[in-house]
Amino acid sequence: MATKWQLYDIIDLEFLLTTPHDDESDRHKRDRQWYIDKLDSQFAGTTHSDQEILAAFLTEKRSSTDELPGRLFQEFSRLITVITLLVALLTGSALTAAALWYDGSVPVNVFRFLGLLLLPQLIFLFFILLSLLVKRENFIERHPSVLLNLGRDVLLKLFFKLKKLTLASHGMDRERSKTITEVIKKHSKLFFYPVFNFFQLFAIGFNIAALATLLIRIAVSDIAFGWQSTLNISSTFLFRLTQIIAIPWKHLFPNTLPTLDQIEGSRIILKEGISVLTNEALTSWWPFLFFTLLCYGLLPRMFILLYGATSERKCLRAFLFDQPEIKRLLQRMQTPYVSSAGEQPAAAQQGIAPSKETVSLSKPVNADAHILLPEDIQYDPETLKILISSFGFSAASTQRVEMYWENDEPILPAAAAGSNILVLVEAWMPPIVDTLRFLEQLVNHYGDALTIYIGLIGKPIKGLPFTPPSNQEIGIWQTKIESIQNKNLQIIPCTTTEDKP
Amino acid sequence: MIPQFAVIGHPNEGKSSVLSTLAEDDSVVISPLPGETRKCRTFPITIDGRPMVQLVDTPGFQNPRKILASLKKKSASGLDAFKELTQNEASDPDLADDCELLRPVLTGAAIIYVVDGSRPLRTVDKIEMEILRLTGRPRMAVLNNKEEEQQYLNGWKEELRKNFNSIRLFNAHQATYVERINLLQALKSIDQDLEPLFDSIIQSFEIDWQNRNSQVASKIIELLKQALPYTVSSSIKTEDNRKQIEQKLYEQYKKQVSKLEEQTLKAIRKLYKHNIFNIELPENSILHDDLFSEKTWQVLGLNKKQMMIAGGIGGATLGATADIVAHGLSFGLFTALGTVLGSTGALLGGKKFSQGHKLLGIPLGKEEVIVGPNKNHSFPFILLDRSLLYYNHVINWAHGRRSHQATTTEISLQNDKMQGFSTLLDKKEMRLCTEFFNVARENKTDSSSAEKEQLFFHFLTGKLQNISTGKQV
Ligand SMILES: Nc1nc2c(ncn2[C@@H]2O[C@H](COP(=O)(O)OP(=O)(O)OP(=O)(O)O)[C@@H](O)[C@H]2O)c(=O)[nH]1
Ligand SMILES: [Mg+2]
Repeated sequence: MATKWQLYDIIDLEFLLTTPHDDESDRHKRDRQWYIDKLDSQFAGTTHSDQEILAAFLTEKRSSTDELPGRLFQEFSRLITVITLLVALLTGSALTAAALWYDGSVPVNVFRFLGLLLLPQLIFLFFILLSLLVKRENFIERHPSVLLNLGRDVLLKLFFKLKKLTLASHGMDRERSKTITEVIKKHSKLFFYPVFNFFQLFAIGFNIAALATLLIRIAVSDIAFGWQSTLNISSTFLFRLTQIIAIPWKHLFPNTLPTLDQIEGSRIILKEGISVLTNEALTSWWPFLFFTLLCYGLLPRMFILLYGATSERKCLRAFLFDQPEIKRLLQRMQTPYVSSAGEQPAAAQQGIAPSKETVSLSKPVNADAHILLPEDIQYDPETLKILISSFGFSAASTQRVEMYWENDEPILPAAAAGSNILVLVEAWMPPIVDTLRFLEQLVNHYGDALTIYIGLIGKPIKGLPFTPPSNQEIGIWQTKIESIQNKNLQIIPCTTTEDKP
Repeated sequence: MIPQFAVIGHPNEGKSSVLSTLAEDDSVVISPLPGETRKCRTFPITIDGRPMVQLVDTPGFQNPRKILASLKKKSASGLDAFKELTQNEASDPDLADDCELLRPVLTGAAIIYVVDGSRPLRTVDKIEMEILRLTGRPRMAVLNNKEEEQQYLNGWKEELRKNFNSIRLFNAHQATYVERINLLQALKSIDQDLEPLFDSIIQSFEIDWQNRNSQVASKIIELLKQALPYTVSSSIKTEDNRKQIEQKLYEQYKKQVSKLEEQTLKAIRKLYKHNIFNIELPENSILHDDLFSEKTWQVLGLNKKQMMIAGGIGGATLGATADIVAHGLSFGLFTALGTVLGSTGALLGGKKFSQGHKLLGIPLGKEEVIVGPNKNHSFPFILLDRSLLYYNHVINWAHGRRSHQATTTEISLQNDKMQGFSTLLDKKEMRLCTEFFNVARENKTDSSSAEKEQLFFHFLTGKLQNISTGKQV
């Protein structure tokens, strides 16, 4: 389906696509959804051309939104068409009537008739054909004739004038009418062919009126045609000329040409008067004139109009699908809308960020302690000793634990009074509920009088078996231990790195 | 039923970060405090509004030992045991997180297990893996290495291999577009039935990415089309205040053009869904300097050799600016301009208008000083460079990342002090660019101009695609 794009389509699209728009991703969602709803169901799986998509989009928008500004423009161009045709008909018939003016004394001179009605047309035609012939790429667009430019400007001016008048009656807001002005300003080259076509339309109207007037005058009155010339033209020359001019039609209608005798018989020689001319000769000219006007006036214009109209379409189509806004629209419609964002709004940040300041913690000096050693912590005895002393303790006894109360409880010794408990933990493993409950149970087990020390060990880095925990890690443990509000639990970070040779 | 993938793991291993990056959602709460996520959050991957799969962020395991112990006591096996467990223990507040994280698994979700491969493997990890194994659900492991440390990686892989169908490295802070796609590819392997589904998701993601790239290209083109022909003008009433007015115009020009640029960069950021957190530029990025700073003009744009070539290509535009080009780079074009401005009038290609025009002896209007359009050859290349550099930062800024740490993925351009992409252009590409710049500068709209714009657009989308797939440009 080749859509016949028109200027007012462009105005509407321009309006639809450039009105203050929302966010690009919203547009994508909306246009894509429209495409799926309206087109996918309509064409059921078949692929569709950009033309079809755009045409469908426009049709749908026209029916679903308030009046679009293109209508105003369309009405204007209809009005101009009608006016052009009327003026053309009027001038055509008036000029023909004038050319056929005949008071019964001197026959109408065929030269005058053709000179008045056909010659100016032929001159214009010549220039148009010339410009079409030498047309290289975009010749017309680049070198439009002065007349066409003038025509365009006049028409646009007229449009602006009329627009002001009609705006109110159309109930169109400023936004809409502004679009028209903008399109005209921005894409004035688009208006070349439409104006070109108005000229052809005028010429067609003119010729039709001329032909009709000629026929009517012939029918209702008696008009004699003759010929005369100051130049020394012989009847034979004129005869040959008519034969050449009539080439396009003489085989179809051979009787429409004056014969040599008739030409001779219709020669007006003023001093001899009209009476020498034969009646038959004087009426033999009109079919020839009719066909000359038809073949050299009307028909060429019809072909040119056809050409102009197709060129206009082509030009508009090329323009349309070259517009970035339209390309983007088509892309939005034809690319899937992808989203992967989270569903519910994100929960607000809960915990307070762990403090980054160094925690100052009092440290027992060289006290004896019962060491609880989780199974993951594997050091040779020497390293372990250094590690434990870095916490300010010395190991009175050491015991492996799973850090899971149910399994550890049976094997824990009851505390010797006065002795300390040091649980070693890797600070870089976050304290989970499992661990916290284990620590609480420990406090329960050993009673309120005893402080349980939690020795935080930093990550083994670069061959060092242990390092001091980072402030962040200490902060995290601090926060978590505070959250269970047990004053018998006390964290101490390991401070020195082990410096084994 | 929409296929679900639950991202599960120990607290603080980066589950939320992985999801934030994978889903390009910077609204995800990420915090150094373990136990931040307490409720499951669903991330539906939708195409044209239809949900295709759902990714679920879950809390971390708080009681792995307890869970495993009670599972072992259950008579039922597989998911039934889990169902029994979560029903019985629903009232235990300690187990709230564990029950919550198992919830999607019980309704059929596959499992993405996230661990930090830069720390040593611990017993709890093995316990968690055992729990996940007992679910019998399809599962894969993602190693999200929070630090550079490599020595534990093999230990992790060995252990993971026993329990997971596939293992992938995915760094929540550094993952690029390509790595995101690769992770999605890998999800196929945990459940073969989902292969066609993932193929179509990946295809849509790729189209979407290209789409965004071409939007970036359009935005950059738009910027050039606005900034290159940009002018500011003012009329001069008396000769006395000429200098002041010129200086003012020059400042105004810089401000307006910078603003145009800023809007473009902001739009680019938005396209890549960085909505909440501003991305942080690397400390040494030239983007910290503003568009018209001396340093920008020294390190971005064309190098000297290219400048000569550009002069040749530019032809007509060279004339007036030849001397600026010659001095511009070494002295910093715009400071030079700033001082010269007063004596020579508007130098940025500016013209004096209606000077001396008189009608019947009366001077016609006032003298008009115009600053712009900027005809310097480097200018468009600098705008281009800055946009591309910014693009490079934006797309390499993972959504799970909240602050700047040096990463290795960004393409760094550090050859002989020039930092921009322009220095890498060959003659043909420079011609293509220059031709479009000329079109943009003169606001041309004919069909051959449109063609040049089209060529530049393709060139630009190609470049963006290369940057986003990590290829050298
Ligand atoms: N350097 C680095 N840090 C990371 C990475 N991934 C996560 N982190 C950090 O690790 C911390 C925890 O990240 P989250 O994503 O909140 O971890 P989570 O697994 O969701 O934690 P919970 O919700 O508490 O269970 C944050 O401070 C992140 O910035 C990474 O790839 N590299
Ligand atoms: Mg989380």
